Amino acid sequence: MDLRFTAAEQAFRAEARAWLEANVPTESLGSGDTAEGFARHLVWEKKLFEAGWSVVAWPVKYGGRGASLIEWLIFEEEYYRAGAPSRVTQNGIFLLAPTLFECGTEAQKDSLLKKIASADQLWCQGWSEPNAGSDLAAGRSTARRVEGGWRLSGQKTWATRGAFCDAFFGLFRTDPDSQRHKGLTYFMAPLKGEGVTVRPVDRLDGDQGFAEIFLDDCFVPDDMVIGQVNQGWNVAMSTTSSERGLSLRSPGRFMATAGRLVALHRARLGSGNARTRDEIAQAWINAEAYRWHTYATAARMMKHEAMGAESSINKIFWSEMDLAMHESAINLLGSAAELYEGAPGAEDEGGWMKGFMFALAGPIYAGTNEIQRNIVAERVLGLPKG
Amino acid sequence: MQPLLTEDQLLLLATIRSGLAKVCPVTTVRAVWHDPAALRPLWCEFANLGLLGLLVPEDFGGLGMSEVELAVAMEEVGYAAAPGPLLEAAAIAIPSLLGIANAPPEVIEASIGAVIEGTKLVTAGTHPNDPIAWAEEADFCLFRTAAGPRLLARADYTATPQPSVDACRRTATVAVQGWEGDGTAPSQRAALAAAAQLIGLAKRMTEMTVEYANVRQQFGKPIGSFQAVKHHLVDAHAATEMARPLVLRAAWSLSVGASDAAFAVSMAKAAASDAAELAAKKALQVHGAIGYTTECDLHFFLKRTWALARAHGSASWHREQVAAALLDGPAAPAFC
Repeated sequence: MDLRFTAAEQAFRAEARAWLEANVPTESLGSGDTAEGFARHLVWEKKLFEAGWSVVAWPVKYGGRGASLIEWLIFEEEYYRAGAPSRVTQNGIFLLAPTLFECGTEAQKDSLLKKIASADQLWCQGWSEPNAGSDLAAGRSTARRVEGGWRLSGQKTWATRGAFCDAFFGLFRTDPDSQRHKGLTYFMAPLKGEGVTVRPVDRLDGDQGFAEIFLDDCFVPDDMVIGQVNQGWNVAMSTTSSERGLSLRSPGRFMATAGRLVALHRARLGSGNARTRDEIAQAWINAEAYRWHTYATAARMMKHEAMGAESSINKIFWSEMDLAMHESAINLLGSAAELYEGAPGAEDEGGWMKGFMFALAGPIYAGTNEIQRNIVAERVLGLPKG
Repeated sequence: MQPLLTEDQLLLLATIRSGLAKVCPVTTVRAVWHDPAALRPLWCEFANLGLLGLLVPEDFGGLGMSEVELAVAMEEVGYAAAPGPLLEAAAIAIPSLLGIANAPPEVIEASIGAVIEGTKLVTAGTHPNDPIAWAEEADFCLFRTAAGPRLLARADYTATPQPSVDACRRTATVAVQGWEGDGTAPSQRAALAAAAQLIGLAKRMTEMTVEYANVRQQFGKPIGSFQAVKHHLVDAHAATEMARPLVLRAAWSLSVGASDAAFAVSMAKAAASDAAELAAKKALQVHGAIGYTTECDLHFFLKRTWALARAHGSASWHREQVAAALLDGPAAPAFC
């Protein structure tokens, strides 16, 4: 066991730090969840891609630089340390792409991966339906077989950035006689064109990209299926593991939040009092725990050990840690906490309040924490199903 | 960056776990609980497992290992709720024997030898005025004074028994002139060793409770099938899983003399204390009334947890050390 970074890892960090320092926009791009902000974020994504920083751990031929998982974690630490813009490509990069790597054909990988990395094609996840949230297998959207492909019908909801993206991925029932998780197929489909309608849904944190997707006999060709027909559930489970586990929220994000929380405390409360000091210390301890836990997880994955249901522990931990950090922040702000965008007295334009509101979503998305706890109980601890 | 334990370290873990399962099953813990004299033969068994000389150089008959192996070993000690001043001996007293000034080398060798072989019981005071485990029964007790470490024979100090809720700790207060303790490596090692034991205790309590929840039936099914019970145990398991990397990291930091080792140890002790306390609470709750008896083995682990969570610095004391580093200096520390 040696927790020192190697010379190569240190050099990688230094290279990332230098590039980010020189290239991260000094002015805020505005929220990536508004139309104008989204467009500005796309410019940033292309800059990242051109410099080879968009998908560092991918093979070079798909736009990456073949970095290890440990190096990816280092890059993420530097990315968040630099206050770089949020990644509007993340659903494509961290959810769809792993599925393509795992289950896609060579033709699909060659055709799609580079466009995902370069933000030439923006993807969103069309997972939930009005009747199928936690119970994903209750999905009712269908795919009807036609010449050369399928016609999709139904409705997907809670699609992050759905209003701004080009395409989405989701499960559709291809076997009309099937029930639950059997008879589903994993499809990629357009968000523009005939048979598809996107309707934005206002979110309480002001996000404008959230959307419902209505499919009405929307045609997709055969090569838009990932994996085998009627095997979509198995294909989807590989996505869900990376979302919960390593890819979606790297420690760098929370290390940066903890750092900003410490700075907020120092600026507004100085030494503070026993309670605030205890909360700040706990925030830092949690961020450090997640950091070292994740390095160990990455090392195990690099030895090709499967991650499985332990990834649910990660998801519970980071989502509840993030919420606690933001609660501490708005508590520190006291009566100034409610002052929001446009208020002259707002701290950081209400950024902490906005972050708190988004943190509340953490225990809900990527599989609610209640479901995650059930998964850990049954698949890790071996307790019987309810 | 190599964050995982090596094959050798994993082998040590497995060896100590199976060794302790053999020589120190819960029935033995129960025996020592009722009769401290039962520790003596057990102490020799601990010596045979190499537990006492972990940090002592091989030239002196030890295993010449580092704080990482100490953490691995202490985790197993916690898992078994092994009685006796193992922490005090392995982490503090025995490694400190080499630093005793003015003692002739043959005396040092002889005392280390006897102590490592388990024929002499040794403990250590870490924090002045804090109760010392097994001070009454020990042959020697080590104190850190202004003049360096002092090893006192039992006849040379007075011990006032201070019975602990954990009868396997045999705590006693000792008055020694010049005993200062300090915040440096041995005290940090004690906190680290306690943190590691707490991880082991937490794991064991959760495991015992999962086993119970799989077997105990109510309303026609195992109680582990009820969601509330599941979530209790998941919370205990998750807290322990997330605290453990901090303990190993702190152990590594101590082993390489990192400048932020004290900071790392405080984070580890805080996280491990909290995880074990949570695991204890959940374990008792899920066991229900049966867990509330001394007939059930759970109480040995609960009481060890309640003692160790606050010994060598409580979670809130250690969080205050972390807060001081974050908030009181001229600039906040950086992660990277």
